[in-house]
Amino acid sequence: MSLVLRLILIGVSLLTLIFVLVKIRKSHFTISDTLFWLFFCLVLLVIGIFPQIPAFFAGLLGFQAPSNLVFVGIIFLLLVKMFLMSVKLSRLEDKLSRLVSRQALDEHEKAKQAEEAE
Amino acid sequence: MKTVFIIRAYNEEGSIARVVDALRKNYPQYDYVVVDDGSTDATAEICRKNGYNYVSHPVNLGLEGAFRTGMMYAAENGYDAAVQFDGDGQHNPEYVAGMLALTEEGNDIVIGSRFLTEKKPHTLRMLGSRLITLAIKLTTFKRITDPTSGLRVYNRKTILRFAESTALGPEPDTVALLMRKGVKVTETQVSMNERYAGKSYFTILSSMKYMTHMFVSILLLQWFRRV
Repeated sequence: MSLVLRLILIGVSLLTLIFVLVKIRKSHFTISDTLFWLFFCLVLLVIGIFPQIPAFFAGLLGFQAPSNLVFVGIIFLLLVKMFLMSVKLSRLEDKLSRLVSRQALDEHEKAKQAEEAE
Repeated sequence: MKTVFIIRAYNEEGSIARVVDALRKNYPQYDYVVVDDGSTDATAEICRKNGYNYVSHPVNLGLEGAFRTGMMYAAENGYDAAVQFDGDGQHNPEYVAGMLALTEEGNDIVIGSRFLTEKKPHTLRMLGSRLITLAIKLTTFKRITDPTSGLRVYNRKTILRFAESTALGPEPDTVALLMRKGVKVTETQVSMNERYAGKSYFTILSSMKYMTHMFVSILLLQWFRRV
C-alpha cells in the first residue's frame, strides 16, 4: 500500500471521527447510530497505521494488491450499512403510515363526539 | 350488509362534492367515509363545510396509506363490506349492489371490471393492463380481466386483513398474492366515467415504475411473502 493511500485512510478516518463527534455534541445522532461510524473510523485508522494487516490478508486470499482488499472491504462494509438503513427506512415508513392513519381516525372520532355533545 | 364506501381524495376539490353528494342523495343506504390524504387544496375544507363524514391525514401518504386508513375505519366500526371508491368521479355507485350480492355469495374480493364482457381497447395503457393480467394468470392460473380497476368490494374478513397487515395495498399485486393464499376473488362487468376534474397521476415515468413494481412483485417476490 502506498504512503499516499495510507495518509488518505488516516486523514479520512480522523475527519469522519471529528464529524461524528461534532454531531454527537449537537445531538443530531443517537449514540447507537454513531457506533457504526466510530467502528468504521477505527478500521480505516488501523489499516492506515498498520498496512501489514491488509497485506497479510491480501496474501492469504490471493488479492493482487493489499489496496484492492481495502477497497473491497470498505465497499462491502458500506453495502451492509446501506442495506440495514434501507430496512430501517421501510420500517419507519410503515410506522409513520400507521401513525398518520391512527391520528386521522382519532381526530375524526373526537370531532364526532364533540358534535354529539353539542 | 353494513357497507361503507372508502373514498380516497387527494387534491380533488373539483370533484369530491359531486361524488359525495350524488352518493348521499341517490344511495342513502350506504355509509361512506372520505379519506382526505393530506390534500393541499380545498378538499378538506369542502368536506368540513358540507358536513361530510371524513378523515383527514395530516400528511400525504399515498394510495396505500389512505386505503389502509379506510380499512381501519371499516374494521373499527364493524362494517361487513367496504367499497374502494375513487373521489374523482370515475366510479358509478349503481354497480355496487351487484358487487355486494357477489360478496354475500361468499367472494372475499369483488372487482368491478371494465373488460369482463367488453373488449379491452388497444392503447398503451391497456397494454400495461394486459401484461398484468398475464402475470397474474401465470402465477395463479386465474384470469383477472381488469386488474388495475380501482372499484373493488371487500368482505369483513379481507377488511380485517388489510387493516392489520403491513405491505398490503389496493393494487393488483396484492390481489394476486391473496388469490394464491386462497382468497376468493371474482369480477363483474361495470362501466366507468371520465374523471370530473383534475388529472390522473399517470405519467410515462410513473407508469414504468408502476409496471416494474407490479411485475417484480407478482412474478418474483410473491413466492416469498407471507400474509
